[in-house]
Amino acid sequence: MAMRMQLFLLALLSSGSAWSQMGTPIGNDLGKTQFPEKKLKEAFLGNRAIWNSGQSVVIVLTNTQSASFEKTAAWALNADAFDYQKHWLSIVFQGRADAPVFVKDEKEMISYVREHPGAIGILHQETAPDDLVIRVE
Amino acid sequence: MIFIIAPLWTARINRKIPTRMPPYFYGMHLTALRAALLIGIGISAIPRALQAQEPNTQVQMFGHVTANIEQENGESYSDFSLGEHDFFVQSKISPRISFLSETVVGPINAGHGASDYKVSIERARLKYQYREWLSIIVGKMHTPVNYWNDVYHHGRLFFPTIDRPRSFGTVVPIHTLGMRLQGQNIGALNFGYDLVLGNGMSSNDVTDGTMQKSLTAAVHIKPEAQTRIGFSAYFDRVANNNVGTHAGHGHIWHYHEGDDGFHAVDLDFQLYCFSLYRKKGKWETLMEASLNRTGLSESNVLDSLTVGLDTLGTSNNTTFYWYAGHKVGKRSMILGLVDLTHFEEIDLHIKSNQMLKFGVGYAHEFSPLVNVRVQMERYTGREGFTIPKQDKWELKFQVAYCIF
Repeated sequence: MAMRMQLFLLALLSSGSAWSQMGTPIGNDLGKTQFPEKKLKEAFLGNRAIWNSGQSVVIVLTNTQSASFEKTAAWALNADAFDYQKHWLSIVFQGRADAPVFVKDEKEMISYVREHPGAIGILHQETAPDDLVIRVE
Repeated sequence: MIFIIAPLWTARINRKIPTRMPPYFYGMHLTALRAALLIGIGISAIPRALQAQEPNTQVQMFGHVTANIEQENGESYSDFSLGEHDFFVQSKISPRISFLSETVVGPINAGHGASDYKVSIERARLKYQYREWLSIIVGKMHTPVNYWNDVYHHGRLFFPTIDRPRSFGTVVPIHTLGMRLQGQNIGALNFGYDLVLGNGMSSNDVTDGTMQKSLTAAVHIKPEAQTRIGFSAYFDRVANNNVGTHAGHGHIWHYHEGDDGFHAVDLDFQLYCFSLYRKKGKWETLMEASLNRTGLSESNVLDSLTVGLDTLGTSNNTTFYWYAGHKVGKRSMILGLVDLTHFEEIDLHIKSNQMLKFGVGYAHEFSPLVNVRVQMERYTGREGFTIPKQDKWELKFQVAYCIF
């Protein structure tokens, strides 16, 4: 019984930490309001160019020194901000992905996403507005 | 059709070089027509896309400085050198259209032979993204024949080792100017393809003027993040055994007019490459293997000058490069490399050789935008080939950076 309880707590803890790493995705005119986490991760690795809506993917990130950027790096690439910045630098240089848009903070991210169809960001601190929130399947 | 024609290119006897070479791919007219149709479809969609978004442009500069001490055949040399400086521009002109260019100021020759700089447009390409599975790219680009040429380009900051593999300078056709169809991140394995029709290795940097074109077909999968496995095939006809800027072949490696063994004949050039890149945990590795087959082209006309060349057949040349790095600490890495080339005596384009280079090194990243590398390398090989065995030790140091 004690063993089962420990396993249950472990599972609860691990799912909770995965969610906190991911944060809350927000997007504008992506064609759907619900995506599997894997698909969202692909987008944040630069592996997706067009949404179901036909809009082109615009990745919105906070500046590379921010805590929000660090958390997105840990979730998307399982790496730190340093390696995530290198990753983007490299794939943009290859010509295989468009450069992300960098904003000052999460407030600015919300404004940018609201104004730009196809834009997607991840919030770790701010509360996601209902009209932009993307649910994770 | 290409694979059916391929074996027929190789066996033809003493021929004279015609003033106008027939196209390498006889079905190319149909291919060109289809390509033009696709471009037309793409262009027709441009005005709507252009209206939708303001351009987003990034400008970066990549560069490097190198110091070198070497001992070759008992003689010692040393130098500091300023390497390629690459002005990189990427602009998202509209949601579906982007532009990318690399303009490089770099030494004219490498090593001690370098005496001056030249300016070169290394990439200038416009991309229209239709879907994940289709983008149309036009302009000057790096041929996607292997991982290195498709990913690192002139950005030394990204190089895993200080020097490019030796397949560069020998067989890798670095650039082409033409049209490319590209699809990527398709399906669960993130399958990607590239199909490029462009000016061949014998063309100059600006234009071509012949019906002869090169064809590159490349596929890859990315089963995991930071893992890519790829295969490619490249076909071209080298006119008069003479290559231009796109080939990027090093001066010492291939035959020039006046060299013993030089024959001004048309050559059918095939290159097959396999690449594997993987980064997982503390390990990073890159393997590049290539098979190059070169033989007399059907376009040659019988001539007493080329008597006997028809009996040579097709050469089978191989190159192999392997790099492995292991993280030590948070930002440092120890690394090892092996680089092998083998070019057969019967090859009419590249001078025969069997070379081996291996080395160990250390790399440290100060930031995502600055890194340093130190490498100790040994150059050796086997005697009995046109290019003599090398006997050289090198200690190299490089600082690579990106500014924006």
